[in-house]
Amino acid sequence: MTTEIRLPDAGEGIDDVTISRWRVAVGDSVNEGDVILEVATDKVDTEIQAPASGVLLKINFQEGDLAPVTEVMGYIGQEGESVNGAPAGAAPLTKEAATEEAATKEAATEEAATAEATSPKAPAAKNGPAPAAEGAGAKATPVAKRVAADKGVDLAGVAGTGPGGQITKQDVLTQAGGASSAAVSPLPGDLADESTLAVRRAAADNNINLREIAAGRPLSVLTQYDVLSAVASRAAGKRVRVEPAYAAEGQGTEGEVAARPDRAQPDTAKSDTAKSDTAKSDTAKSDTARPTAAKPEGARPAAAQTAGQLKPGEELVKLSRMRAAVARNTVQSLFSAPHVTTMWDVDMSAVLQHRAAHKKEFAADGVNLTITAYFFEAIVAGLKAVPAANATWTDEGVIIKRTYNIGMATALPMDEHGIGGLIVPVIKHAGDLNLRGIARAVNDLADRARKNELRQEDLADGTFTLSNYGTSGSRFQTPIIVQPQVGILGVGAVEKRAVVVSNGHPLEPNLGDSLTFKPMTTLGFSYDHRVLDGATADAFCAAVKHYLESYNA
Amino acid sequence: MRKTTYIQAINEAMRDEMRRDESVFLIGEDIGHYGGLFRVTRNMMEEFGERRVIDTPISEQGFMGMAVGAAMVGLRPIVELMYMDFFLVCADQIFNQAAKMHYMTGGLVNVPLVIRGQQGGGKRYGSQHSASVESTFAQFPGIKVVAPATPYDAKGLLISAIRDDNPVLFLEHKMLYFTRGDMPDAEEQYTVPIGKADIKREGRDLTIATFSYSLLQTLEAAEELKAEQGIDIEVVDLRSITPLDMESVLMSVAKTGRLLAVHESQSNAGIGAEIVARAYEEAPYLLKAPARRLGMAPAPIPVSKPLEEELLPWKKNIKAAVLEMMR
Amino acid sequence: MAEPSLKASVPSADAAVTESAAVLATEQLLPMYRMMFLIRRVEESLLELAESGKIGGAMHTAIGHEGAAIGMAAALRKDDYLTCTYRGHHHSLARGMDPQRAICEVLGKAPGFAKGKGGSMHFLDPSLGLMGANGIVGAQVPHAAGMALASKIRGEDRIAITFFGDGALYQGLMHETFNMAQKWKLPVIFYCENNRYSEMTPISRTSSVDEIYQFVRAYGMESIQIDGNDVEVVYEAVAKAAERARAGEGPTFIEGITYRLSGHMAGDLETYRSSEEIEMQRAYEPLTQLHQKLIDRGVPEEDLNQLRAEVEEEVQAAVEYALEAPWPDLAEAYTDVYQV
Repeated sequence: MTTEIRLPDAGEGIDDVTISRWRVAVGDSVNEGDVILEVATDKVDTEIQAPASGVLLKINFQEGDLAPVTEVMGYIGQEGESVNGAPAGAAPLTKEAATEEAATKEAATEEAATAEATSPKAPAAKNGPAPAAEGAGAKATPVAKRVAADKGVDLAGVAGTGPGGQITKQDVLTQAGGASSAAVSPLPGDLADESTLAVRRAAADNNINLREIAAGRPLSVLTQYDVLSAVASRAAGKRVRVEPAYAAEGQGTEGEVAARPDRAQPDTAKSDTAKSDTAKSDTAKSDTARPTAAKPEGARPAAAQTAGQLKPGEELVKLSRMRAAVARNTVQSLFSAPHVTTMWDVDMSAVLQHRAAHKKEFAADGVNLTITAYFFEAIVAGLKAVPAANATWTDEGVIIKRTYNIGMATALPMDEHGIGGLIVPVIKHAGDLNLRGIARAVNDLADRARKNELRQEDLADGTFTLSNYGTSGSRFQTPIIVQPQVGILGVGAVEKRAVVVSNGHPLEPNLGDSLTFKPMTTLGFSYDHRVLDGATADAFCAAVKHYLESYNA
Repeated sequence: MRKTTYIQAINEAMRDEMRRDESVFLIGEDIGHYGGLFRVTRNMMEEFGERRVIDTPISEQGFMGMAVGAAMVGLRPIVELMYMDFFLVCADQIFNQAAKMHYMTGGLVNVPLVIRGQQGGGKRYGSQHSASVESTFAQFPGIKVVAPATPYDAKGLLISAIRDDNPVLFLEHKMLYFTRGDMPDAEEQYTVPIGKADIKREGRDLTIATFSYSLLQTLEAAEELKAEQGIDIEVVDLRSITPLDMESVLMSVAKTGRLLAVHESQSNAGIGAEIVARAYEEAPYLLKAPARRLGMAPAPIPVSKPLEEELLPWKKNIKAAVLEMMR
Repeated sequence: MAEPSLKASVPSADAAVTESAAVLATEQLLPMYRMMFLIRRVEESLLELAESGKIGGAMHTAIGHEGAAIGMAAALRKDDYLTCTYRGHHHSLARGMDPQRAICEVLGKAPGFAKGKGGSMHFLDPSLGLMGANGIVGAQVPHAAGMALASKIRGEDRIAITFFGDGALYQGLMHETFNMAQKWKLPVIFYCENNRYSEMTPISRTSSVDEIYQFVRAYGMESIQIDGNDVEVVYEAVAKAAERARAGEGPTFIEGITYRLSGHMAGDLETYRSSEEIEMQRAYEPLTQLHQKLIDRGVPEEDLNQLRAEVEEEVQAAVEYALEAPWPDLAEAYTDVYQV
């Protein structure tokens, strides 16, 4: 007949909280909804309200304690009532206490029976165990009893769904008025259980009950896609319900999620900020609030370390030949050629459209049409516009090359230490190949690189290099030139970005301006400043950009 | 593959469904003995008798209301309105009654009613016999609206409309009646789903979403624009106004980046405005240029041929709108 | 034009049926009395709820009209179709609608028969042949004719009855429907509850015709004027009209004279009539008449008291149930726009 004080779900990744302050002491009376406890987590401080009215019987954690979020913080009950049979304020149950519990339980039942037999309306004996409710000794929470009295519900006829068949307020409400939607309706201000206008419009068009397809999840998770999926499953004669695309972490059954509408209060972020602002004045509390997960403050070596001076916990990985070569080449390049990198944004719409239109056709010929192939074509166009970019620096002069052998920087898988490899197979005579030829060559080299079947001649005679670091996700890097070339074009990830489109004056605001999403990439062109200057390097990039953006082969 | 007229397609759909389902019946003015003002219900009374092909007095409110009542108890009436303009005469029975009934009754009552008839300009019928009504109907949830442009779609959609458990407005166009199109053999059963658009022409520069007779005008305009300007237009035939297949429209816009909605009902607050608004609401970033709509200019339709053609969103106006958008 | 008769609900026409022989046995009248009292108490309770602000919008009670509903329910089959006006609580309850769900519906609560979406003006239950009360004056009349047409097309002997007020007669579609129903001999009964007021205006101020049952004579339709407050008179008239309809003899128009004791709707100021007029009508209203009829036939007053006490309890419980009942889930707002 006691009510457990539990914590609301603190959100993802929170396992325990620090008890900041109990606002009431054991023995104090509390009303349902009173703030009785303050706790702190990594993210936010939270006030805990009394789940029921009564007396604080017992607390399980003292101020400053670290408490698992799933634990019971304490118990509320009627004055003098025992917690699970243990005397009020007692330490956690011991074996002896457990025995005592059984005894008390019996006594309580007996006493209740006596009370009923003598005078059903007799007031509850003070300091004694709580009497059973009117009727057949139904177990009910005090709130449930109060609500039952208000609503004129006979507890004898109510089936309890609480712990041990205890009758809860919800049970009484359900009995009183059918399945009371008031009882399950979200808390005021909880906006989470509301779907978007577009979703609701789609529901009306298709006669979809959103509650049904949400299957216990808050309606805010639903998308138009979910509604259309539900329509499709209904059309296919299946159950109209949409499974969540992914389950939230640590989430139990779907029903559980709906049953805790108060997770992540809307003002979480705000209170978090407030917290850091006041952190200084509140250091002590703040420190106890945060479980001290030691952050590894990696000691950075002050100077270059040699292999002979390994400290405990360090390990030497011998250089592979490839690693040694990469190291030698990059150092030599970076220290001999003055590197400058220029950065250009390119709209990839035309390329993607062309690729979408021709991918199948290429595939039918056994060619995988990659975006990389288009960059090779564009590089050739750029090199034709600025021949000095396809060249080699010598003290006597710049050797301009009329063949376009373009290298393709290819990453090899990293080992268990995170050490990878880099190899640059070369597409020979790229200028003589059409898109299909280039795509085929790219496929072939990539395939053989993966199978470790590249021959020495595949790696020789490059005149320019492409580094598609976008494939590993990056937007922009400053690549290092492969000597003795003078330029290397880096390509970032193709991603949708917000772009301003102007149909009017390019710099002044006007009616024709609009914002649009476009698939964009960023080029990072590193060039040897001995050969190219900012303007000539940009001329090369402009040609590449123009070729890609107006792609219409 | 045979060719049939639009009229014949509609006639076949009704005949097939009346043979298949005893609960289907026809009701309207001049539809029985005379066979319909536009001969769409020709020979129906001969085959199905006066019990299922009912000639009414000129009482649009009355017979529309009776059709609603009959539908409420499970029959499937097909009501012909001689001119769609006349829907205003019986608007209460359509909007307050048929369209709202299912909702008001918490789903207890269905109104499987088809209202069909012709609309639109082009034949010099003047202001009270030429209006296009789809935009007005689109304002009312609870009634589906379809407006097929080809004989094939007309037959398939009318069968779907008759089998639908909701009220369906089936809009024909007087300029389409004698157009001909490919049609499967009479024995071959097929339906066209309500609420599904159809790409009638592929293109890459601009999407035109349209339906009914405007589709024919749009297709002509598209061919000419291709030949004259090299502009490659994709034409989405919506076929249904309610529910609106925005998914197909937006998939096309994803390709072309430009959207023009064309229809014969009023431009102001019309279905085109809805299509454009929804494009901006649901996929604003697909648009390379402002989306536009082209409907009937804000005037009643005049009798005079040049005036009528000036106001209607026909080829000339469609081409002008496209050129402005491609500037 | 003569002022409306303040004297009584006594028709004066050449086709009037005013005196009823004892066509129904006392055992038949007792449940009718019980139902009539139940309707009266449900509507009075609804008025109280409306006054306390628990009912929104327009709610129209039929206090004083119950005779038509009770007599009709006894005369027709359960599967006969019925449509009626927004003043239609009495028809639906008389045909057997659960008062509990009816009150929930008026309050917009989830257990309402239409999940709270229809409300007071759209009482309906197809399983009881109740095909809908209507919020538009006269709109339900062609529906009933259409249902009668459906029976005819299907070759069934189900008939339709439609209730409307005297005010509806001045809508054009009424006359379109009368014409077609008569022309096609549809099995439909047009029952006009003439309470002498079109909403707030006495029909004497708007009608060019004194005796409105005469309207349909122009269409050659059988027409009759009766005392709509006497359940036995109503029963007999409706039963006879139903017999004609089932026999393929076409529609009948019944003008049942009655009087609306309550206002047009909850919140009606009733400035258009005097309290003396209402008091005078109380002597002729259906519940008083039926009560007197039972007393005259020797039913002890205590038996009737007992009956009323039972009803009182039932209505109280229904009101409480409805007040406690949950609101519909918000997701319901988007369902039932289309049938799929």
